[in-house]
Amino acid sequence: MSRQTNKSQLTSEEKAKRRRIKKANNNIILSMIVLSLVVIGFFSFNIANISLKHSSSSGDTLLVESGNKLSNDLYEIGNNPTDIQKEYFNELTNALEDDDDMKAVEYLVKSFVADCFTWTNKDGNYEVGGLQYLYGPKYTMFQTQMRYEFYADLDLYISQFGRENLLEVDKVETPIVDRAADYVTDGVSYSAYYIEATWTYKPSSKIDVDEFQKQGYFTIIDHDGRYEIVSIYDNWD
Amino acid sequence: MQSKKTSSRKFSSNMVPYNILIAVLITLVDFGIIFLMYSLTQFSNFSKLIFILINIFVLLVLLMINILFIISIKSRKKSIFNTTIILVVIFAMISGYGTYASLKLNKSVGKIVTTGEQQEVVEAAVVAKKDITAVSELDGKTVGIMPGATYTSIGQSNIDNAVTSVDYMEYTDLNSLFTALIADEIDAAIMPSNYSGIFEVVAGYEEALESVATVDVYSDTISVSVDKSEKDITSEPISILVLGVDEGRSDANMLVTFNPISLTITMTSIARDSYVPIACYAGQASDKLGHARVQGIQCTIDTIEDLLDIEIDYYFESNFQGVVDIVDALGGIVINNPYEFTGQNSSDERGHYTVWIPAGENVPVNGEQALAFARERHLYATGDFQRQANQQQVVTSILTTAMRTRDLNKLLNVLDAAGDNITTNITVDQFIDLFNYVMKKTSRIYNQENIESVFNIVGSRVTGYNSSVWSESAQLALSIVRPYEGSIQDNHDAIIRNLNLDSEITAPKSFKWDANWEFYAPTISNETYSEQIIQSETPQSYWCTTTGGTWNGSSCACPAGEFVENKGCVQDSASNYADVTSCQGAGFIWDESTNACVTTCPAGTTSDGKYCHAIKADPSTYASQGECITAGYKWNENMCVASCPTGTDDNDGDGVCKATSNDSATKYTLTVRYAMSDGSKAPETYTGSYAEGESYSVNSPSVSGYTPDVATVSGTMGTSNIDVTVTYKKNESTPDPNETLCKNSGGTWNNGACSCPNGQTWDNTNGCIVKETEEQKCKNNGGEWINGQCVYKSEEQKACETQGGTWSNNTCTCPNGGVWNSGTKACEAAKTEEQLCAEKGGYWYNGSCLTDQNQITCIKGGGVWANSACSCSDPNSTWDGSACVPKQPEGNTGESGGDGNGNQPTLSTYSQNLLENNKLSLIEYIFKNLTFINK
Repeated sequence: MSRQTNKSQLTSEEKAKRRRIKKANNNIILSMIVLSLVVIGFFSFNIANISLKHSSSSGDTLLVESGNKLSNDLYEIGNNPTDIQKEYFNELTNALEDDDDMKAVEYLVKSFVADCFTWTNKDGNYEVGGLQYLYGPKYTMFQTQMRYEFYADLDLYISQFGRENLLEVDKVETPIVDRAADYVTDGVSYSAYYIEATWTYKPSSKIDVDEFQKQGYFTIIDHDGRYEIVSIYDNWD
Repeated sequence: MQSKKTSSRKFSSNMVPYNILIAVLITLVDFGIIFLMYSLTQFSNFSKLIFILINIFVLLVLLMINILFIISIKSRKKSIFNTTIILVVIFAMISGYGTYASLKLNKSVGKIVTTGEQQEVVEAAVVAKKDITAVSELDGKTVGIMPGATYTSIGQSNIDNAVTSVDYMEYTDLNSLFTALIADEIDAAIMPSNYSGIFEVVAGYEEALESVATVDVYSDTISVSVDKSEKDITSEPISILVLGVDEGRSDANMLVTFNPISLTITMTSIARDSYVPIACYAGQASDKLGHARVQGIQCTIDTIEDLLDIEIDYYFESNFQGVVDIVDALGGIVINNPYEFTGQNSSDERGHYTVWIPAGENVPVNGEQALAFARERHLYATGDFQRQANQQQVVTSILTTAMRTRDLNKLLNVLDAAGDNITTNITVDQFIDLFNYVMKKTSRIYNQENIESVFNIVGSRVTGYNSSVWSESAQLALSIVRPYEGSIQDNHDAIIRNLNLDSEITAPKSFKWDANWEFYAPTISNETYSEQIIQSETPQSYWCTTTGGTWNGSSCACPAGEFVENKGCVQDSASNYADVTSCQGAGFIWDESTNACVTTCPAGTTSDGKYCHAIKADPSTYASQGECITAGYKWNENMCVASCPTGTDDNDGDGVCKATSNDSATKYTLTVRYAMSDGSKAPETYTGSYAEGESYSVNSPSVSGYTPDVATVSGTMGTSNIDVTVTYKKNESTPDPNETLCKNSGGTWNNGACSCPNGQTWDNTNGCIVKETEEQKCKNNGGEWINGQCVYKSEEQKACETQGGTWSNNTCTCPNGGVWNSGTKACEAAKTEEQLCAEKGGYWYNGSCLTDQNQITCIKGGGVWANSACSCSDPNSTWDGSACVPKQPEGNTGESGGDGNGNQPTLSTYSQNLLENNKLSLIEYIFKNLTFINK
């Protein structure tokens, strides 16, 4: 009521002033709307620009399939495991749970072979398989050696024959699994196991898989409760 | 009450000025943010999704501010207005800082990445001896230039504007240009403005640099373009030339290759002093590799491409300050340094501003220390080669540290540091693509704590040997490194293997491993190669090769027609030869008309390669009978003709055509045959018809160097044909030395040439010699034939091996622990500790070296040293400061000893004591005895 009274009491000069203020504010609001439209326009353009931006990158990388990961208290399966890798890894996990050391070392070697000698799931030379099953203090040396030897030309195999046509371990046999004399390394003596393993590869239409190593003589130690491979020989000589 | 409360929450006054102010602020903020987001879009390849989400979020916030402001105007509510103000201020700060940061970032990136054409300031210096102080003084003078260099054209145009005439003399390389100036071959030279920095590292040039000064410097901005590659660096292997530049030179030259599948990186260092053909020099003249950069980066790229036969895709260049700033921005790096040393910091003042580098493994170092470590070479036996390994270590450590860094601010600081010091032609998008690619790879490796292990970094270097080239102008030998061809090839092969995914597969198909084994990565290049070593250039070898000769290690073989004089091969002079054989043997021509050896036949004669013959003019030009016949034509009826016409003949050989006689029955034939006693070519046989009773006279033709046994065959024709043989003998006065040499060495001299027996070859000095095998040649030149290769050993190495030592790394390891003395070139017996002790003035006693002179005097005097004092072990003796002497009896204060019972010692017992206890010299002994006698 009082407000109405005040309004009615306004002089024409005041009314004109209010109109000017209102008009000015309306102009500001209008400019803000225009500005907002400009902002929307720019960001729409920028988002489209980002989406359509050409990337020169065409190099591919095998994606790690997180849903395909297996692990237990001591080991984790390698990237993009094959079915046989998963099967052996599960057996390894069971053996560890059962405290069955002979079975554990057997499947440890099988898991190693299935990972290290399989190339269909390797992204490049840098991804040497089976490192997690090796003697911890020396796995980097094994990795280095592999990059100069067995894995040295993996880039050429991949580019010349296609990754899917490369080595993939099909089955691993372990005719001999036995305890062995203690193994001494870095001045420490460890209880050891000896395993002979033979394996086969899935056939490939591009490479002769029979030319590659198909047997190995392994020594595994009990390294503070963790079974680790300390030696691998491809023959008896 | 409610109304009052409401009114207190609203503005009652005129808010238009404030609203306008806020509107302006919001507009600025909106546009600031727009600029910021647009600037950052170039990095969106890191993650498109994240960048889109950020854009949407920022858009919503900006719209919210705008809408809030509109609402606050409409409602005039203080709370909304205040909220709007707060948001505007916050975003104004963000946009202000963001704009500043993005501008800085873009500026840094813009400086670093230089693709396509770019503007570069080039400075040309006019350098002259100090007597020339202004370019205007060059009028009529000679200025040396290097054609093709950008600074040359800048300098030339400015000089041409300043003077009316100047002669330009061209040089193929900077060194030749500079030394020509020093040798006063030219009055001034147009050089890069940093010429002083280029040459100050050259041993022996200090004085030369002192003698010249920069007369003027001209600069111009020019467009330069560097070849660039459009390769997808995440799927195709690439090569990057990494250069460390100082004073315009490339001090560090490293060719890096990256294989995106194997993630193998090869780093191949090439010594800056490698003496190689420079691609942009005229005629690809050789120079130190580091000097190529002075001509432009493309010159260095082309030179290394030619050297290694590898195509270079990208380059990455840093100056010294770049290394310092980047390492500091990263918070330091770690290195493995076997020796503690004090080195040079980034300052250009050599010897000043030194920096200490600690020894140890994984030693943390700052920027200056890292740079000093990468520059040090004097500390190492292998000098520049170890420096290259250290440079690779620093690059690897920077890469590793940068990969481990998760601090965005640190990385921005690195970019900032790089901005002023680094340039490359790799684009931002390529960098980001590569970064993303490598990050994806690291997610697959076993040890996530050590993500740099995703790379297999293979370091190598082009090995070579130290040598020198002779600078004739500067009169000094310049130190250079000559790369081994074998090393270049081995590095080429390794690089090609990493770059070419179609390479042949050679990897083994099985392996063995044991935790107790050590694995050492194979090296790409050997330290040395058994190949022909180019000896250090001496003045003689320089003069030989620069005059077209072939230097065989000890002497110069000149091309045919040249011989060795003081300064190399010089053109042989025909005047050196006086006889036909030696003249023709030396490749000259014998002019029969003058009986002289000539290079070219004189006018009016022609050459058949051996002799000059008179060119016969048209017979009609000869008007007299004598001239006609002398020219070899016939005189017929007062006319000179080429041959006698039909019905006439010149059977009598006098050159005059006569009617042919029909009375042939009365004519007989005179045949004069010519033969050379040495079997060389003889003149043509003469045949003439003479009537019975007719006289004949045939002069034997003259043969230079030979004398016929019959000068003229003459007589009267009888009733039968006559056949005479004239034999020429070689003149005694001009024996052919080659003929004698030939015959003496078992050869056969025939037609001015020597035929050597089978298996032998002609040698100008030794005659017929057994053909030299490569092995013999090697040995004759002072080399050793090892495994089918000639190896040249230094005198020092030979001396070392002669003495049973082993030579490696330019030093000798002597047998039996001996020590090599390079001055005497001899293995010397290792010095015993006792000798070493004596050398430093000590005294060897009981297996240790005493240096305290008081102690030495004590021990030598037979005393016992304890607690820094000397005493005597014999209770009856006392220390007199130089020796233990027998104690005096009580009351006796004399110097002589007694027997302890008050008896005076005899001369003999006193002397004996002195001799035994004090080990006196003979003179001291006599002196003491005389003293005793006097007492």
